[in-house]
Parts: sequence; structure tokens; C-alpha cells
Amino acid sequence: MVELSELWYYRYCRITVCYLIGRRSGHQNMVELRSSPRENIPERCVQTQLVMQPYMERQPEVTANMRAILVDWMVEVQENFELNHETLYLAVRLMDVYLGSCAMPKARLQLLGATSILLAAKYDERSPPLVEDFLYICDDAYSRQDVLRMEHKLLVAAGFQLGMPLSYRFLRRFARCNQDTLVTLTLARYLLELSLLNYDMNVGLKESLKAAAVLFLARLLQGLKPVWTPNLVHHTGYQVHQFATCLEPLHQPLVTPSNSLRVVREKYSHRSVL
Amino acid sequence: MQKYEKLEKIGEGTYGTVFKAKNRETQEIVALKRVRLDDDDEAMIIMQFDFALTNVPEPPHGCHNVFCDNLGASSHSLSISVPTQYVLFQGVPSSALREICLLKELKHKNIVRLHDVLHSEKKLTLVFEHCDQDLKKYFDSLNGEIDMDVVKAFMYQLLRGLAFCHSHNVLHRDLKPQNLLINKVRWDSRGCMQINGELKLADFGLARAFGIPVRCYSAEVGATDTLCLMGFHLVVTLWYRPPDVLFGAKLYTTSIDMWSAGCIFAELANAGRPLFPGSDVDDQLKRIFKYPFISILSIAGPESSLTLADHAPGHTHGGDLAWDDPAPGLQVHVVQAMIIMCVVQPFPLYHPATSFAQVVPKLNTKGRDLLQKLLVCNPSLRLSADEAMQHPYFNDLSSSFRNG
Repeated sequence: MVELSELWYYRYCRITVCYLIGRRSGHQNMVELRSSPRENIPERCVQTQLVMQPYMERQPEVTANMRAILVDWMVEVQENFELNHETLYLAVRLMDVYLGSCAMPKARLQLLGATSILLAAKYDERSPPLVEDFLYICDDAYSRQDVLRMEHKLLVAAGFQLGMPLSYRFLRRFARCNQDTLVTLTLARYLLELSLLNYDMNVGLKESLKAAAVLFLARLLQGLKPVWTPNLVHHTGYQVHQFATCLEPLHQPLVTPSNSLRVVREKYSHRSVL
Repeated sequence: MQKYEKLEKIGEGTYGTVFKAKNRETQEIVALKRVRLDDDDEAMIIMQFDFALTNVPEPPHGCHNVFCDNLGASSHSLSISVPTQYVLFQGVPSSALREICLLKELKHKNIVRLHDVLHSEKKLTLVFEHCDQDLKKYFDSLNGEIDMDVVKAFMYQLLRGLAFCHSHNVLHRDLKPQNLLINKVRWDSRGCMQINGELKLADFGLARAFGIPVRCYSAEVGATDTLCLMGFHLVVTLWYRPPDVLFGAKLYTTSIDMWSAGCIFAELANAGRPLFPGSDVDDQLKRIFKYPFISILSIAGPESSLTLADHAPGHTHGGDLAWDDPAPGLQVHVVQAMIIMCVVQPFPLYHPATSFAQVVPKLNTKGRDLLQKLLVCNPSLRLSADEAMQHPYFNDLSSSFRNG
């Protein structure tokens, strides 16, 4: 498969599903898109948002560990507010985008996390939580004005463009194309959600690559053979060697579970996740 | 705000005030959509709700709106805008957020251009290109007469704008004349040859980018629920909503906009008389299904037999796609309800018209054929925007117009 831009691939995925859904009349014109894929790449493709650039060395106070604690808390918020997973992934991405754009005092880190969720929820949810809800979960450490100001800065940092590719969506698409079971998909989602906490897994990597890697790992852990099929190569666009280096860090939280960061593990411990 | 000189207030949009303004440097005329962000005035909330309460119960047929303006406010969209007004004190409203995100991607001659976003602590201002008026106002000025060439030109541009949205995975979801902006029909210097007016899609406040895979998107459920909880009876724009969505279909795709396009096409051809001006969901469905030639043809489709299994979830995709998201197409209960509507239970209240010739008397045969292919109940059989643009009805449009 030819090397495609991340964004084009993202669009390609979206279109293909629509094509499948619009079964007979085909409300999306697949043929046209296939013939001229590159013309369809819009301006935002040139944005750096597609692959997050490393930023931690520029942050004077924030560390990767603090980031992990924050994301852990964000997962808890997502669970408590019963938000979509897309909201969580977008929120984490927004937080990274902001941290990549300017220095953040550690005392304001939770404000950033909360505001990222607020903004992502506004974009993705039907009825997003209120600002008041976020003030409450931050134990009134910040004022309403703080949140609204932070939202403003966040929007400027993101250039008002919230329609970013998300690994979570790629994963759903890949698993569906391959007709993987819900058990495999859930295991892959667990791995992907754990990877949100790992700073190194959130910079310098394509979202689609991460999705492919966790699906590979989930299939491997389940003992499915062959682990990576030609069908998966076709639909993900990745050969195993392309994501081989990510596999170990993605697997790491299963081998040595963290004692302090437990939210994701507990969330996926419930029977109800299946 | 120094960059722009406010000229006049145009109206109230879905989530903010709209002004006509001039760029001081370039003299360019623009439309400013301004959203207040400061929350120092709590009394505003109560005021907004009063405003809604007094204006929502509009007569369904009159469609003369007090708040009609060029960026989409009418008494009918107002009901949707109320919860958004409430969200106004929640920072940037989600409808503004989505509109900005989507319009930044959608740059096309038939989609209103978002020039700039000015963001301060107190307010958020969207700078749009300025258009003469909306289609609703244009209709009001027509006195029941419209040039059929203008109908064709507007319809083509509507489809072209939609095709662009759909190819960029954006559903508009709220198409109606108030959301279509036009620049007036102009005459060339010799005063004889007509240059058709421009039409642009606007107000993407309810639009959605559809992700992978298409999830269950429902336009107003959140908003409606909020208000219903507060004891308000709501009228949401129903006139342009397809029957599958009215029946509660959970999943829809680009076909939702195509039904609306069909309704607008008929309204254009009748110089502004709405096709299905329903007053509530029930009335809306009755108005749609009073046309036997719409209902029967379109549930089954011309080439298939009327079987439930054909539309059953899971069946269409060999079952493999059904586990994660609601199955696309028509759910069984929706099909059942449609069959009951049009076969089992005739509605004596409404006298059925017998052919499209009676519905759109001035439209030619090709135009009626196009209309019939858009007003199809089964969403998967509805024409797509690309297909509709290829319809023979548009054959006699000049290539310069098509490309220009």
C-alpha cells in the first residue's frame, strides 16, 4: 500500500464506512475519492496537530509523571460524567497541544485538564457538562473566570480546529474491518487508554499507528494466529515492523502495573465494559 | 473590533447577534456574528427564556417571522437556539465551536465563507462574507412568482454546496430557506442578459462532522430534552426533516440533507410555499404521507419488494457491523411505522394530491422527476447530492454556470 498522509487516511476511513452504510445508492462517491486522493487533503493537513511534537523539555515545571497523573484523573472524570471516549481522547490531545504551545505552571495543570474535557465535550457531546460541574470536581480550586479564560487560550492554541484524527476512532475502524471480536477490541481499547498516560506514546506517533499497534498487541495477547493478517495490513496500511518499537512501551503497563495510576485498570475491571 | 466598522444590525442568529460591517482597511462588507462570553449579567438567562416563550407558538402556515434574518433565526429555529443561549454563559457555545471548526475546512463558492474569528475575553466574533439576503426573505419579496431558470440555478448551487459538504464528511442537518443566503439576481451591463444569483449554505451551528464509523447523531435531542425538563413545549423545525428521522431513526447520514434539499426544491418551484409545513411531528408525517406516490414508492423503492427483512439491522451487512453501533438504514420499527402510516391507515383529514404535477405545477417533467427522487422515504434510496447534480433537469445549464 502506498504511503498515505495521516489525514488522507483518516478521511479514507471515514468515507469507506459511509460507503458501506449508504449501501445501494452510495451517498459517498468512493470511486471519485480513490481516483484523486491527494486533492482531497485539506489545509489542516499541514498542521502539526496530526503528529504531536515533543514538548516536555520546554516545560519548566510539568513532568511526564505529572502528565500521567492528570490523564489518570481525566479518565476518572470521563467515567463519572459518562462522556464518550472520543471526548476523552480529544481532551488529552487538546491538553498536549496546549502544553506544546506554552509553559504551564503545575498549579494550573488540573485547570488545563478540566478545561480540555469541557471543550472536547462541547464539541462531541450532545449535552456537555456545565462549567459548574468542572468547578465542583476541581474542588473549587479554580474560579469560573479561570475556566473561561483557559478555554479561550486553549482554543487559540488549537487554532479553533478540533476535528483531529483520534486513535480511538482508527481502532474501531480497524477492528471492524477485520471483524475482530468485542473481546479483542476491548482489550485493544484498554491498552490504548493505558497508553494515554504515557507521554512518549503521545508525541511523535501517528494516531493510526498507535491504533494498529494496540490491535496487534491485543491479538497477540489472545493468542490469535496469524497475529497480523494481509487483511489488517491492507486496512491499517501498516506492516508489523512499522510499529514494532511501540509494542514494548504499550505492553509495559500490563507487566508492571502502576500502584498510583489505577483508574484505567479499575474502569476496565468491571464486567460491564464487555 | 477596530478593524471593522459596524453598519447595522441584521438580526439574531442561532447563537448571537449579526451585524453588517465594513472592513476599515479593505472597505469590504462583511457580516459579523457576535457571541457574548462574559457572564456578569445573570438576568440575561431569564430574559432569553421569556423571549422564547412568547415567540415559539407560531402559526404553522403563516411562516412570517418576527425574527427572520439573514443568518438563520426564525421563530422555528429560535426554539433550538434557546438552549444554546443558555450555554452562552458556559463560555464558547458548542454550536459556535462546531460551526467554526467545520467552516474552517469548508471553503467553497456555495458555502458562506468564514473570513476570521476574533476572540476576546468578552466576546467571540465570527467574520463572514456578507450576502444580500436569505432565501426566506427572497421568497417573501416574490409575490408568488418565480422564474424557473432561477429555481434551477439556485437548486444546482444548493446541490453543489451540499456535495462539497458531504465529500468533506459534514452533514448540515438544518437546511431550510433561512439558512440559505443569496446574492440577488443581477443583470449585466447591457441590461438584457440575466446573470443568476448566487446561493450559499450558511449556519452550520447544528452541523456535524461524521467520524469513523458514523455514530448515532441526533440533532436536537439534547437541546430539546433540556427544555422539556424545564417544562417548555418546543417547536423545532420539522418542515425539512425526513420521515425516517421523524419516526425516530437513530442513525442517519448524508441522506438527511437530501430530503431537506427536496423540500426546498419544491418550495423554490412554488415561489416560497413550503411543501410540508407541519405543526408537530404527527402533523408533519401526515402531510408527507398524504401523497401516496411518495410513500409507497419510497418505502420499498422502485426495484425492491416491500419486505422487512430487507431493511432489518444486521441483515444488510451480514451481521458483522452490528455489534458496535446501531445498524444503519431503517430500523424495523421505523419501517413498520411507515407501513402503518401509508398502507393500513389512510388519513381522511388530508385530501391526497394525485400527482407531482399538482404539487409543483410549474416545474417541468424533468424537475418533477428529480423532486420525486429526492423525496424518497427510504434514506438509502434517496439520490445523493452528486447524483442529483447529474440529473437531466440540469442538462440545459450552461457549462460556464456549472464551472463558474
